[in-house]
Amino acid sequence: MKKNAIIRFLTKPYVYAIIFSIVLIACTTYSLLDIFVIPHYISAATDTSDNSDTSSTTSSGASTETSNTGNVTTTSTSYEDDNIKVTITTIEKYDTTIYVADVEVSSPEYLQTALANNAYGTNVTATTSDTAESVNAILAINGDYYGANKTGYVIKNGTVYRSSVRDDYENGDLVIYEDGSFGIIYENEISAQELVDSGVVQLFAFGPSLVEDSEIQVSTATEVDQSMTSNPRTAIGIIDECHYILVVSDGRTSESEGLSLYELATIMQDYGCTTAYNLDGGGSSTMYFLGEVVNKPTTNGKTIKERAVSDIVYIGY
Amino acid sequence: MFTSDIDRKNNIKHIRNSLIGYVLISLFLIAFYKIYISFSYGQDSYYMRYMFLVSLIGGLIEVTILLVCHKNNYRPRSSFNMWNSGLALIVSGCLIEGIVSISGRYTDAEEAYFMAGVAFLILALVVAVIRLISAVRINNARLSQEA
Repeated sequence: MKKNAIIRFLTKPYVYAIIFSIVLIACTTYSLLDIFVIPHYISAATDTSDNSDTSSTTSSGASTETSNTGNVTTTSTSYEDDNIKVTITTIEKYDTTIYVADVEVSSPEYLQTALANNAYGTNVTATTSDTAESVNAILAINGDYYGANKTGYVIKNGTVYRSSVRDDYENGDLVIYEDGSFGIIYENEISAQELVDSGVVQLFAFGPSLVEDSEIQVSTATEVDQSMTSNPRTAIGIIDECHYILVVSDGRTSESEGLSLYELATIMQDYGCTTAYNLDGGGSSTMYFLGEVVNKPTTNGKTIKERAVSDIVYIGY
Repeated sequence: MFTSDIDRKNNIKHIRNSLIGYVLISLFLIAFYKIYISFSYGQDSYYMRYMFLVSLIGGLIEVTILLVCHKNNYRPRSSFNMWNSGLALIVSGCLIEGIVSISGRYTDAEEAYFMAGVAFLILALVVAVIRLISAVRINNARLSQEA
């Protein structure tokens, strides 16, 4: 009797459609939550850096302190000690406010990366400023947001966290070697372990490459995944041995339109970069310097607010 | 099998409503795509752009099959449900791929939806053909008897 009642119920008009629709909506909702929201912690970050306090302070005027790094001199736009020199310049170009951090270090070991919450995994995120603060960063920018995807090499501070080839490997990856030099590689041509064996300590999988051998690599038609031409941007480049620039631009606001990839590449080339690479942009673009967020990060152009990201690139001890 | 003219008229009405339903769903999917990408800062997705074709072409094929079945005095209810389920799964897969792609990420989550959708479509066709053949045989036998 019960079985007949169930069969009679299921064969009523629209019952199958309603039940199927509920199940499909639930599955689709879960899939999207799994991709965008649910954090999957896989492992703790391998700590290979020495984050000893440099006792740096932010001040409106110049301040000088003596610490184990030698004399530390800071202003609102610069930092200098025996090993690290950072100068932040703000320029207006292409209707956009652009923040250029010129970095000179005595050793490439001061150019490092850090993972959000000191953990590796997808959807494991924190704001650039929070992560920077946790590692006592002097200067930091957002990284390649590796946690947004489930494939693509992840190599941070000499540790391989992921070795699956990314779907869009043709964009190329930026690698930083132990000696501080930059290179562009393609994941389908070399394995993650081979990269580490060859001396790679950092890898960024976003792209595309902006400048190689001092030549611009993008055309006016090149874009990141068909995105709109003008956006907030983040880029990193090398000028000379242990001499780098980190660039972040505003965008999507009435004050700052944003940059196209070609415009970003011209800026990197103008500053003398021999190699430059595009990192995650849009709402992720953030520059942190001596405890403060320097730029105006925004996702929708209305609210100035940092986006939580997977990883950062920073200058520090 | 239809037992009366009212049954046949209701079936034609059902087929007409199915066609109208699929056209409306296709128009909704086009509108959804246009609204979604207006907030996506220029990012686009081929899957989201063309997912309306799944419902449009799928709906037209379904209506054609329903008309063929109607001519043979048969209404394929279970096949109809499975076909709709298949199309819904494929459209859901396109939606997921589109949302993820526009956000700048990559996923393979949509593959399961596409595979399940195609499986439902194939099953619907197989069941419809088998039952149609059976309905044609029954019709022919009835016509022979009447003759």
